[in-house]
Amino acid sequence: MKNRLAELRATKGWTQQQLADLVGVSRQTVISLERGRYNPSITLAFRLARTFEIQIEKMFLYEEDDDEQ
Amino acid sequence: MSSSKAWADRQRRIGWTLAATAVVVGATGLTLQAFATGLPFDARLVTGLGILLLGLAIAALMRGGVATRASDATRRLGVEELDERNVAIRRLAGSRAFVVSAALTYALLMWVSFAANGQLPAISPDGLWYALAAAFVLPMLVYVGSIIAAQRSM
Repeated sequence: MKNRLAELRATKGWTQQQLADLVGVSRQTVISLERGRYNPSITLAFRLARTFEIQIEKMFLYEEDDDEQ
Repeated sequence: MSSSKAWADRQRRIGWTLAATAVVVGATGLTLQAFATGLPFDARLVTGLGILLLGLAIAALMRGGVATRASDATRRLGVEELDERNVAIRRLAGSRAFVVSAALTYALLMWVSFAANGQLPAISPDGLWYALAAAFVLPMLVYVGSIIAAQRSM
């Protein structure tokens, strides 16, 4: 699943560690999310969306191909 | 109480419980080694279990100690422990290791069963020891290898 995490984080001027601390995950998880290698749980997705104060579907971009992965 | 302090406290409680158990088990093993004769098992197994428990106790106490000294490290250790990606990686590695462990144990059981019927060569006590050791060590290697591989790919 694609996401706009890196772009949104850059807008806020946060480091990966700062974002990780805000949502309660490790920095490695933020890196994996930004690279699209890891799809978050629904809880983490909501936490991220709330941290950036946007709707979840504006952050995570679902495509039909995602079902095949 | 913050979750990080609770985590550190839990590590210390686990550590001291393991340490107390290790002392009892280790002392029992040493006593058996020194005085008991004609046991149906090697008393060094009990001592070895005590040493293993002591190692686990030291690890838990060190985690708790580090967590208490540095609040930032405390929080990050707790986060690393509960991080959903790390949990997913550990589960994946655990399930792979379980499959390998089950397959090896099943193969060994089958070999022993067929050997008892004379359909396969019997395993010597040394051979059985090495086979059991492999059935213990290989799943651990698979577990560690899976964690390393998943850390790179996930």
